[in-house]
Amino acid sequence: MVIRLVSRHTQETQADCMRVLNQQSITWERDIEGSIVIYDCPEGMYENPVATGSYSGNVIKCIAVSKNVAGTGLAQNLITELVNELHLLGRDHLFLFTKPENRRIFAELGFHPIATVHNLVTLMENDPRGLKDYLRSLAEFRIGNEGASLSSGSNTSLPVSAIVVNCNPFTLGHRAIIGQAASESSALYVFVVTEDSSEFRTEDRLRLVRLGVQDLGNVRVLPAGSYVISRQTFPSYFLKSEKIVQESHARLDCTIFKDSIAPALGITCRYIGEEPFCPVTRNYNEVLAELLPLAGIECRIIPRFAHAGRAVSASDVRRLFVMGDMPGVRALVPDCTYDFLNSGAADYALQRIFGDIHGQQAHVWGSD
Amino acid sequence: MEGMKILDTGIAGTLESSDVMITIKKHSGVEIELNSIVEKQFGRQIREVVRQVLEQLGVKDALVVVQDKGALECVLRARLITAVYRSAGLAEVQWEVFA
Amino acid sequence: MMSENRLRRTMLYVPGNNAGMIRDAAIYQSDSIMFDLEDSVSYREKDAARLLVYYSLRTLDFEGIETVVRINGLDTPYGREDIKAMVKARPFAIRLPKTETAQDVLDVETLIAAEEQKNGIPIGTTRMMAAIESPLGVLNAYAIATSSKRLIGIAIGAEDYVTSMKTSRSPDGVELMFARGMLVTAARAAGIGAFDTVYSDLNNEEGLRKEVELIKQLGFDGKSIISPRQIAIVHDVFNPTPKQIANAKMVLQAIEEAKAKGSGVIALNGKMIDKPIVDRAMHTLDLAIASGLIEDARTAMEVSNAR
Repeated sequence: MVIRLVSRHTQETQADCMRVLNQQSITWERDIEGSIVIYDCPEGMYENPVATGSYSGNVIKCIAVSKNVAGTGLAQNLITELVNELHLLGRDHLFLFTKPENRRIFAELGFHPIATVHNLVTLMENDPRGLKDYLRSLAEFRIGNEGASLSSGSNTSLPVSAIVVNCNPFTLGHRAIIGQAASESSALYVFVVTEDSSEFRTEDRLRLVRLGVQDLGNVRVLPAGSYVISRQTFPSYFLKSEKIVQESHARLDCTIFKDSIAPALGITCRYIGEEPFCPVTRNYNEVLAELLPLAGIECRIIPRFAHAGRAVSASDVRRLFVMGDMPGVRALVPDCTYDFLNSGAADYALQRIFGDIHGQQAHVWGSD
Repeated sequence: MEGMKILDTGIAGTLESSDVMITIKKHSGVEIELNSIVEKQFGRQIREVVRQVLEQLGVKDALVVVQDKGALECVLRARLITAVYRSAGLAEVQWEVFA
Repeated sequence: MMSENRLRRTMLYVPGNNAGMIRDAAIYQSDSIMFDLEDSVSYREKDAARLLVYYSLRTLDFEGIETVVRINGLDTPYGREDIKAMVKARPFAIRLPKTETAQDVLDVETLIAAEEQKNGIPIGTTRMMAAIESPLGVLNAYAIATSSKRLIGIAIGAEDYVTSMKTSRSPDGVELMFARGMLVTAARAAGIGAFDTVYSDLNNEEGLRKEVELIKQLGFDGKSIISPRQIAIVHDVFNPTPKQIANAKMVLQAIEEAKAKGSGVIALNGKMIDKPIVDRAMHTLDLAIASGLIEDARTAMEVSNAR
């Protein structure tokens, strides 16, 4: 057996991986950065690939061992090599996608299940406390823990709600949805996606949302972290993937939300922004609307907030910003966002937005 | 010997049969997360060895994740010490300390 | 007990970072086990392998099988650390890779002696082996073989050597003829062991057998092997034939008789036997006992008495 580390794929190395993956009907994913390939051949050559596992960021996926060598412990070699390689890249908290029937193999290799979508996919992590610690950190935000600071208007007959937003950047549309949800809820948790794949940095997006809703006493703004719409729970949200992969990731993300996150915060209702354009988001919304009620979580869809007869969207704000149309921006965003965009501190985003307008990004955020 | 400090996350060992993979990271106090195929029979013993080695190295703060694949005690010791040294960023082992 | 005269037909390479292989190393009953810290260990894992071999040697029972550790050269960042650890771990011998001159051996010996002193181990306890893997090393074979009293043998490593010789290995090994001849001659002149290189094609049993027959005929004591599955073939080739054993037993008897008579002259079938014949008979019996061809303890005792 020859173990090969591929840190940059060529057509030939990718073909080797795909030969093994195809046997298990696993598809190659385009965000793969590197792979381990095991060949069944004498040393000094690379022939007859029999096992492979790949990584993207801190996610291990596309793992397959050829049927004729299954059971020879190649999964151990794959994971050992991947863990070591990713450690050298500074990535120690690792996530792993596999088929549910292979859960046990990876459980014995130090991976703990986070969530499973029946017959489709299981997400695991190598940190035995990863999800636990995350849920504990959420509990610190729990409204009601601090008692006295709760807004006097809170009404316990209303649901405890959640909404997930990207806010790239924070617009009047976001503010309106959050305001409406807050008024219909006893408490509202706003999860801001922390994946740094947006034009505006996570820290800026988060800060603007916090500034923009600080007048709402029953609202808490939380960083979504690794377990809500992240590259770990929902990689296909951030790149073009086949529909079946997207669907399974959407279900996975939804499963983590209903089984782990909602119980940790006592959430009984989730708000979703209506999505007229983006198919990925629309599919995600459909999955939420299907699965959450089964877990006793209500799903409320809010139409987009319109300005001058047009739905306010963050992509319009970005376009106006890059064109320097600050009065146009002003009409669509709250003061905090306007001040930030106008201060020069946001200029780093100009180049990223420009690239995006020219079609560089695989997927435009539906819910902004 | 002066106590060793866990700085970066340190990893040592493999997931192959008869081996153990140790991940050690910053923490306050010593905690051990053990996942072993022989946990029922040897869980206590494994934790005991881990505590003893950490004490020997003067490590007071660490989270140790032990993914055991049926390693002998000598293997566990070797892997744990390797992980601690890697985490502390020290290349030269003080052999005098070890029996 | 481990001694310099024991049989070393097979020296099993065990990668120093492989916990499972180290644990099982003794069960295959090779004559020696060689834990490798050098080529089989990637530079990222040198620290891990060193500690693993250290603790394994300190703790595990290798059932009396001789243990050897191949360390990294002093021209690498690992050699000195290897020596520090391995002198304390107390294998029977430390094997140097890529030895080119007598000075290479002396440099390692100096470090070994210092560590022995530091750890209260009698100076000279740690034995050494030198692997010769270059044209210069081959030409210096005798100087290397006589450089230290610690040396129990020299070994040839063929891969690097043939590359330096601008050739490659072939089935009949003609490219190694000079080096093997030089090495075994140097070893015999120095009175130490001579060990042959590895045979890397695991699936070619016939090729392995031919090579072992060749090196046995050249006078080698044994061979490094990379897999337990090579042990049986090597031992089989080194096994004496029934006729050789019978003959050796007769020589042994003649020695007994001469001793009983208080005579210094050993005679067999009316002919005087000189020392080389006695030595060869003893070696044959050693091999026969080691491979279980002679089982009775009496012969074993007689062999040891006759010495």
